[in-house]
Amino acid sequence: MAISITLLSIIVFLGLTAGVLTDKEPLRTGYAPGLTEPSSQFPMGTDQLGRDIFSWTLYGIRTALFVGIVSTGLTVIISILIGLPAGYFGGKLDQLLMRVTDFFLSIPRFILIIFAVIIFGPTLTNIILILSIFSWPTIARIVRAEVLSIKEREYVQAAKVLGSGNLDIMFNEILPNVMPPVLVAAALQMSDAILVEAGLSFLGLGDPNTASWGRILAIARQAIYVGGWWTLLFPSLFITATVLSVNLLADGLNDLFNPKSVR
Amino acid sequence: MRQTIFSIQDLKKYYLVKTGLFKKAYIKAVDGVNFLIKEGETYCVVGESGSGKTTVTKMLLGLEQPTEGKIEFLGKDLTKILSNGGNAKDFRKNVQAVFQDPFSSLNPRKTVKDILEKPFKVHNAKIEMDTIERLLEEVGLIPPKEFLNRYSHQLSGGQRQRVCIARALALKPKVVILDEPTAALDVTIKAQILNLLIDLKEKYNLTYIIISHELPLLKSIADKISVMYAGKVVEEGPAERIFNEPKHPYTLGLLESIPPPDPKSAKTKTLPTLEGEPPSPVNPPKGCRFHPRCQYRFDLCDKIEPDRIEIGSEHYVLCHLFNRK
Amino acid sequence: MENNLLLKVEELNVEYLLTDYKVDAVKNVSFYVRKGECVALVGESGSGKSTVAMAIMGLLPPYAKISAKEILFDGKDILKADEKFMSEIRGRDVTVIFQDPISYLNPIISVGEQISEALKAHNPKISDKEAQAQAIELLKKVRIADPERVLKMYPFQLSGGMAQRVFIAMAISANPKLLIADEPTTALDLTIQAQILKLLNNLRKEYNLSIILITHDLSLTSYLADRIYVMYNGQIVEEDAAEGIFTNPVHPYTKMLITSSQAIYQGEVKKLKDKIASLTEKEENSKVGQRCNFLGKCKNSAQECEKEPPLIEYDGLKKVRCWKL
Ligand SMILES: Nc1ncnc2c1ncn2[C@@H]1O[C@H](COP(=O)(O)OP(=O)(O)OP(=O)(O)O)[C@@H](O)[C@H]1O
Ligand SMILES: Nc1ncnc2c1ncn2[C@@H]1O[C@H](COP(=O)(O)OP(=O)(O)OP(=O)(O)O)[C@@H](O)[C@H]1O
Ligand code: SF4
Ligand SMILES: [Mg+2]
Ligand SMILES: [Mg+2]
Repeated sequence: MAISITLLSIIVFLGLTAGVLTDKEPLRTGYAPGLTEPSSQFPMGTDQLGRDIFSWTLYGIRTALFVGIVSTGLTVIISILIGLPAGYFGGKLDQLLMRVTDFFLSIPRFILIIFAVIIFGPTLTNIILILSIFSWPTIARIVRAEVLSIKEREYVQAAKVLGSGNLDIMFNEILPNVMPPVLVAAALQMSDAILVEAGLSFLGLGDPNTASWGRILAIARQAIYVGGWWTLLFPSLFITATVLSVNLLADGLNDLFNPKSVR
Repeated sequence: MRQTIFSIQDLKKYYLVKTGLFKKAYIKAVDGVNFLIKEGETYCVVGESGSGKTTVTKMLLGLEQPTEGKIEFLGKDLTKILSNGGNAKDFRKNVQAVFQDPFSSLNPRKTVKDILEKPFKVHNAKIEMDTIERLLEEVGLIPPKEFLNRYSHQLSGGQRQRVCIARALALKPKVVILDEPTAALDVTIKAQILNLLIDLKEKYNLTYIIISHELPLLKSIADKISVMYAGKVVEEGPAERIFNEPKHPYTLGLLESIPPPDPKSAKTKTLPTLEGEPPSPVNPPKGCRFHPRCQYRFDLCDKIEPDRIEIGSEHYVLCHLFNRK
Repeated sequence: MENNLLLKVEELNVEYLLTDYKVDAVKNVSFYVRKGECVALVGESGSGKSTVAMAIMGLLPPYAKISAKEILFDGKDILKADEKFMSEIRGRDVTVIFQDPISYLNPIISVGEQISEALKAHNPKISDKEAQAQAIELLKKVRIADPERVLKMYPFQLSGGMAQRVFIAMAISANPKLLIADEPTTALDLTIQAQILKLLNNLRKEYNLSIILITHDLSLTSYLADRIYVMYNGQIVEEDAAEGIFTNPVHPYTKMLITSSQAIYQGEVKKLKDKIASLTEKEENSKVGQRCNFLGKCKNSAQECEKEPPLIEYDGLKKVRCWKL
């Protein structure tokens, strides 16, 4: 937990101070004549078109985290709006909502996302929306399962007896108790979102106007043949570190919310 | 003539549960129960664990739908009351409950203050800190300030139970349903809570429906007692008759098991126990449900189900022994 | 040291450090349990009984500060033991019947799986079939009807008393050396309570099981306990053999406890209020500084009571925490 938070804070810090740490723009070509090794001027070297990898990687943090956080936030909101009533009311509504969920779970997500991006165009907003729309089912199931067990608790019945309405019960009594496992799942979802965005950019389906790690890697694919190892190393390191620390955070949260079992 | 608060006729509740991969069975949790609860009465329900007491109260509160039978509140059908928003709100304000398990009836993410403010919020009443502190004082959580900001898992068992009682009394309801309200309390606090209930009743003419295993306690507070066994009420009557002239063999067994608080009494070291298998709620014994364990049984008992027989004013029993035909 | 000693707790202190203040839940508590002995902790609600149990099990929340001279279990100081050792003896050598069984049962796993899990925890070799057979045996022992069916049910489908008995079954399944029973029968009716008490007593005779019985119900202790420790506000105020507590209570709190229990047994709750009043003073601001804990309520308090009394030997048999002996 401590490791992941430290690592994550460093990454966030680097991302936020990108503008101070480098004076170069991430996507501008021509800083150097061609593929350049790391040096004091270019700490991570440049690519074939003379783009500064250091600046690109730092600004890439912003993109990755922005996509991760916003799409995860949206995913969680959608999951709650679907899982909560499904679990709480049960019956027909539950069946309907869970059919939809099953449908989304049964189709290959990444391929669908690729198609959607091709159809709607590769802007950052689209990517975020598409990611959220195709990712909520897992968390919605978790929400529903939790709601199912919590709604049998006597404090929920006590709220009913006090005269609380359904909305009050769902959002004030049940939701706070559903959140712990949802937060764990959300952290996992976030690392997933970061990877998917990188993957899309790698395939050339990222937003061409933002600095994304995936795109550097796509370039690295060619650069590596002419010895440009730095184009591969630095962005990969950042992707790994970010995804790893977010995953560790999820583990930590999990331990935090499920203190040692009794038996 | 006192008003009838709850009138229950032939109430049944069957739960469908899985018993195997493809097999299902009905648990007959409540199987034909009649109550008549009058205003200002302390109506107590005792009985075997698993005999359906809690299930009855859940139906009275509209938390479970009866499989069969009718519940009337103040002469009106309960399902009708609850389907009308305004009436439902009134019903909720006037009928409050303390649940059996004080641990799970408090939301783990709320402080005592949140929990006690909730009833006022729900009914748009003004919240005054004084009122909440007084509630806590009344149930013996002193000084109240020490408890306001605690979560339920930071309270002892008895303290939790008292928070539940305080919550139920917050809105000054007319009817309070209490499921094992004092099980986790020590004698002095028990006495305090019971006296509080008695005071409130005298002041506001409250009606109580109390489920309790603590028969000795009921001696002091009950007006009427119903004894349940395997989903049925096997004996019902005024409290003093149940204690002084118990009729049903199960009631006798129950009264005999009261352990005296005194190690010297010869009775304690050899507690009398009711022998035999507890009844299955899925396939209850044929005829009289108590017959496999009854020492008075005779040829009729395992064949014919006994009827409800009136053997005294307002005293009913479900047993062939008292059928004078 | 006696070699048939199973547990020895010396000078245990537990504080809960909350954000704005601390709760002194257990103050300087020492007691011991011999093999095959049943020791009862009785006392008012919130006096620290469950906290003592949790401290022995190493299950206090992280914000609780625990200190003790030693807690010897079977010759080993568990205060200094690591978490691995603790998790080994927990559930095998020491088991607990928690005061809130429902919170410790997993709501989404069937009763049968949970019991099998408990059985497998200390006997990994047994097959699923055997585990099931043993589970059924256990449920029969705790008097649950239709054990096969109950194994397939989920905790929320059980009645309060059934959940409690399922938990008792799990706690005794491991054949522990020490059973901590925290209010084990609060949700049980009297006939089943009597049977559970018998069951515990038999286990004691058969397997030399030691029991710490935590309760506020003196009638339970009169049946089961060999020795009794009376707790008040985090301290032990009187300790003696069970008989001695009942026949010759010395501390004013113990006296009050015994009188109240008897009054409740006789159905005199209404009079009890006056009785308690006659035994105690009106509580002023209690809990101030280093004085007798009971001072605020005590009738025969004197000058020296402004200082905290030690646990003094009395009559050669008892120990009492009171200046005025
Ligand atoms: N939701 C449910 N689904 C299935 N069966 C249930 C459900 N709730 C209760 N039951 C069953 O109904 C029967 C009666 O339960 P109930 O809780 O009413 O008993 P009780 O009289 O309150 O017992 P106790 O004194 O132990 O609390 C039990 O056999 C129980 O297993
Ligand atoms: N987790 C906690 N955080 C803060 N205070 C606590 C916590 N658990 C218990 N307490 C307080 O410590 C004191 C002792 O509690 P404990 O649960 O040991 O009492 P008890 O003797 O078991 O009472 P009861 O008979 O009501 O269960 C109480 O005043 C209680 O409010
Ligand atoms: S020491 Fe004094 S104040 Fe304390 S209990 Fe004894 S007599 Fe009462
Ligand atoms: Mg019940
Ligand atoms: Mg306790």
